[in-house]
Amino acid sequence: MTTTLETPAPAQRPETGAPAPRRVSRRRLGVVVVLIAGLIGAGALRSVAMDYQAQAAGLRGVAAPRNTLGNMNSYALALLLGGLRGPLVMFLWSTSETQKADRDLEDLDTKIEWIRLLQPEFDTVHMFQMWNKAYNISVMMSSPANKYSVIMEAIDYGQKVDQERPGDLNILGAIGGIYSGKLAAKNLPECPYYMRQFREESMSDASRKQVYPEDNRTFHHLSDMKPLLDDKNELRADLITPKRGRPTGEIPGGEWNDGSELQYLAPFKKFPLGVSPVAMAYNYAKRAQVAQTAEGQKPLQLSPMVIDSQPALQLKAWADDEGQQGRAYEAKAFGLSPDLKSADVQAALAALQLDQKPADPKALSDAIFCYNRAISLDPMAVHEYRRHMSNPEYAARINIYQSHLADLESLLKLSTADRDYLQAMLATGSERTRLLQEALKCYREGLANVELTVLDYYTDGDVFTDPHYPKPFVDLLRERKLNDSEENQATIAQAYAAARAVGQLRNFTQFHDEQADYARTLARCAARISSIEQAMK
Amino acid sequence: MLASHMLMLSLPDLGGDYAPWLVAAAVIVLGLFVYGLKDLLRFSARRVWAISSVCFAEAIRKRILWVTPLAIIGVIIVSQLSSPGDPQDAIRQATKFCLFASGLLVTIVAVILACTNLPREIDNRVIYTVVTKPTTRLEIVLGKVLGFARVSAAILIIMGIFTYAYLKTRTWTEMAQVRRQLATLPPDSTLRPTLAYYANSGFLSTKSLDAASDFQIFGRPPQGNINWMQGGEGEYFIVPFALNDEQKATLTQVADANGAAFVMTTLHIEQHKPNADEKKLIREMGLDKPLSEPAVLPAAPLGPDLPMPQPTTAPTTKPVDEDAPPPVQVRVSLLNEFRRPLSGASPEAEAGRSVTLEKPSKPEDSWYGRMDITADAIQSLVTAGRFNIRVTGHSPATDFGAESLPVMIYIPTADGKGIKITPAPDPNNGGKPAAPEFLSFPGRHGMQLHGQSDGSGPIAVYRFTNASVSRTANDKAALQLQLYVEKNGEFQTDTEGEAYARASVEVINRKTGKSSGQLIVTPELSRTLFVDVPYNSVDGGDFDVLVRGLTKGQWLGMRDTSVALVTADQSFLVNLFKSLLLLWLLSILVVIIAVFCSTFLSWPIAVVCTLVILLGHWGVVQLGDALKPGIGHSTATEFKIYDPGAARVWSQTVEGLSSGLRFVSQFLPDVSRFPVTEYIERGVSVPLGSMLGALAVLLCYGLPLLVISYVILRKKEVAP
Repeated sequence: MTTTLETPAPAQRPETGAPAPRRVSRRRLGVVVVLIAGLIGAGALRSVAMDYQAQAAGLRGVAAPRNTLGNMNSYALALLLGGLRGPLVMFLWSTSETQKADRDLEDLDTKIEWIRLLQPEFDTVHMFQMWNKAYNISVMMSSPANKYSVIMEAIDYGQKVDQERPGDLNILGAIGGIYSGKLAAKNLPECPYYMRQFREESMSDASRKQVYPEDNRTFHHLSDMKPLLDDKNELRADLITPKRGRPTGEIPGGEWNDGSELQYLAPFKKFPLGVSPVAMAYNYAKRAQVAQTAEGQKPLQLSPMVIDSQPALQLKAWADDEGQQGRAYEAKAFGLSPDLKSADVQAALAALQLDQKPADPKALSDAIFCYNRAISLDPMAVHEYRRHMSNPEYAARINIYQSHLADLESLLKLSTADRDYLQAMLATGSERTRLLQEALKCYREGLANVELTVLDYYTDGDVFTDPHYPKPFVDLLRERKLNDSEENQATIAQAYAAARAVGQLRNFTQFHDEQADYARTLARCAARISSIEQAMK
Repeated sequence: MLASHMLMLSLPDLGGDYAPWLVAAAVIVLGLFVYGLKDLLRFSARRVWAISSVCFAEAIRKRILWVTPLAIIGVIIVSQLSSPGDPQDAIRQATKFCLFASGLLVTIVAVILACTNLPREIDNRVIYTVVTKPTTRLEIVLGKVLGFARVSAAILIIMGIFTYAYLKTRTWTEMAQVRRQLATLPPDSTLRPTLAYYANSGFLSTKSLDAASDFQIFGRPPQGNINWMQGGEGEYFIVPFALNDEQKATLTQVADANGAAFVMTTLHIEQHKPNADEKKLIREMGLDKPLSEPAVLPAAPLGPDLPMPQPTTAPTTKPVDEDAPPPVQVRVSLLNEFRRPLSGASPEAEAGRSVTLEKPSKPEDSWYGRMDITADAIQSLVTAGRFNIRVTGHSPATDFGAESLPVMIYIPTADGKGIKITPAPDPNNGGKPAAPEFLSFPGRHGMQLHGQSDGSGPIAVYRFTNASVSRTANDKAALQLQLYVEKNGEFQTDTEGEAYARASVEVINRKTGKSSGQLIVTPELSRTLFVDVPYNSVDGGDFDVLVRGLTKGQWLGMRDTSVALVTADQSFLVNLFKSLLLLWLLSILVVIIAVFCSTFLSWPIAVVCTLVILLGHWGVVQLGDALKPGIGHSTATEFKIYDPGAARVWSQTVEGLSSGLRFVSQFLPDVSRFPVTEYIERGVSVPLGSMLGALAVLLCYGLPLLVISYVILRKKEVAP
């Protein structure tokens, strides 16, 4: 019975007498050869086209070698899937979005990863998925630690895309946006946790145990990020080694991306307390801005102005963060309660006496480091603001950034004063006197600067038209005749006190929070000035 | 008995429980025993086996098995590209990929082979060589089905061996990662229990789970004869009532005479100084102001044992002390037997009415309060016969304790004795009135369990009775927890606060009183947790599991299945075999449908038709709401068809199509009854009921189709 099955029907039997199977297999072989040749040809052509595209991009880099399965390109995947990539992607998109709406996160990461692999050419897909993970999915998690993990997965996603398509403005901007909008977002209650966890994860285990011994019992890595620092707390060489030289010809803006991951953190080199997420935000924001300015890349979802402004904003945020970090270490150095909220730290520090001995000298030196870092960041931030505003298209935004620049000026003065004050605590003799004099001068200037900032930008306009407010102060402010020089300080203090009094009298609340924040800084400055004056009597 | 019960449960619904079986039986009897009796009498199993062997050999010669390496490579690639959440998830996903690939492969092969075989044999006249032999058409159909089922079995054996080997390999690597994690985790880490469970039990274990016999949410751990609920409108207890004829007649008389009847509530009360959240709630509820309205005086005396309530609070001009506890109030609602608002009762009674409880003269006595039942509501109760009374703890900063009889209906009488209607008798408790059942209001994923960082929040109590406990080597027993985080908690991360959401689990042995102590776990969205508990806390099988939320502001969704006891760790290999068996049953169904289609259709059409039959029911289920009545009107609106005539035609057409689809889908096999990956990917033993369910679908659809195929083929001229 089985033999009959192989027998062709008489009507179909070939009449030529040639062995039919052989001919068929020859034909088939030809088709297979043509198919394979076609596939190889298409693959080669695509590869050439991609190389040409990369070359045409000029300053942009070379993709990471695709030597792992995870880095397999979409062409290979499309071949593997037999042309079903489109339907599969549609299925993945719809099911992943449905799962998200149902708060069912099982397999969701896998689906997002497949979408990334199946649609590698679409920046908007990657930007959406990064946003999706960092903002939509992370907030579903119930614990800060797990939220952090998901945010780091979003960053990891971006970095994988960046490896495949290095130097893409949109991906760099999105990575920077996640660092600044999630890990370093001061408005989030989890922010302090994120910042500390990231700093610790950026260090090698050995360094972390030394720098954060109090966390040794509870710390564990929540992300797959490799430490950014080596055992000397310097940025890993592979992260700052340029992958290409300066391009030939004139470069718009004068800056170019050298292809290294942390190019713009390289000048800082040492990070003895770990890398701040704000620093990372600055690095990626700067890379994105340079990609726009020097390479002419265009942002897909943000305006060019936003991309251009980010380095300045992130540098300022980093400087602010270092100042705040410095105060936190100062509090730690003098054994203030670790449960103090950041807003209460200033008041606690104001009560410290100059001759008080630090309980934790290492924390004091860490505080000095943070103030020094803030001092070094300050002029860079000012430079970035000026660069941004030097573009005639963005010049109108000077009104917005004036207050930022004023803040930076205050920060420079106050950080210098804080650093000198702490160093004076450790010094003796003439060095101590010199440092105290320096600190006193900077505190006074900083205080006047802060008061002026409040008067200029954080005081209700009705205060100045109020009959109770002294008119001479209004004229001085209007004509901008006041600065932080010694002869003006008393007048500024009076103008500030009068504005506060009128504001309280009329119950103006528009800038209540900002004024309260500045008032804490002023109180600390005043306490420090008084302390120094007493010591120098 | 169990098997027959499970079989009945898994029957496809065709308008009646027995309808599909009756239809199937009718087709088989008519087709086989009436129409095909002659062929049935000539039936030879040897000939069927011979025909099946030809099919099998032909498939092997066509190098069908060569596709299995492709599927294996596909599985390995896809697994490499997955992004699992943790090592257990990696194994779960890999299991899913392996079985999905096996299922896809076996289905495609079955469809192609079975759909093409018969039409091609007829076309190229190979069938002559068979039908001219002394074989019947019945033997041909059965032989072909058996042959392709053997091909499917061969593929599944290969894929099964690969699946087991691949998962074993993955397990080694993932287990190494777990051990590394355990080595680096601090000893008191909340992540440790689940990882330790994985390290002890392995990833390829197969669990059997035992659910709790009772699940309630209390305000305090159950102790003594008083059960407690917390105030603040989060928790309630519910008591069932069943009126007998006499009680119905009495209530009818009361309603007709416009007389009085009350819901009497008797509770123990303990109050504490309100915390900040409770103060806010008190203000929002308006309980920070003195109650100005005195209670309505009853229409008749209440009798000596239930004294007349005094006005709730005398009007006062004294300022309210913020730290003082609020007035004690509960909210009483009348519900039908399905725990929905009782229709016909007053709107107030439906939504629940606040009742202020009166302080007893002696502190150790119970507080009491009453709610008038209107004549309409009485009539509704009589009509319903069976109903429930729900009492919700209204006042914040107050604990409400209920003994066995916290609620009854009271009808005052002229002699002052009154008539009391107590809750329905509980047959499981010797006919005594049913005890109150304590619950909290439901969220999206079960009853809400509110967390408090000091553990003072409500407690979910899972009562296990006669559970079969399996003892592990390290003298432990395991619990599976599925705590769904409904709402995230508040974390004080500004300072050194918690990094993880926390809940505690405590197991108390009811016989010995041994407690496991509070074990801390970290619930997370879409994550199943395992906890090892000391064996002595569950020894004997009668124990309570107490779950508390320990993160302030967090709500956990608790269901009766949220806590389960792992009763046995079985062999993964057996479970894999069960899953593959389900897959094989599915493949036989596919083959039968394909052979059926190929008896009267050309092979390309037969392929399409097979897929439609196979996926039709599933497709309609996936469309879900889109096919519900009203879709016609909504699509007409969406397409902006404003002309009334056109809109009506459109609407009716779409409605007709959707109802037609729904109707037809009822006659198509439900492939979701073959849960190939559902259990195994979660490490749970595939239950016998699922196997029987799959078998039922196969028998119910497969056998009649087989008979119809035979009838068609017998009537078909395939040879001169």
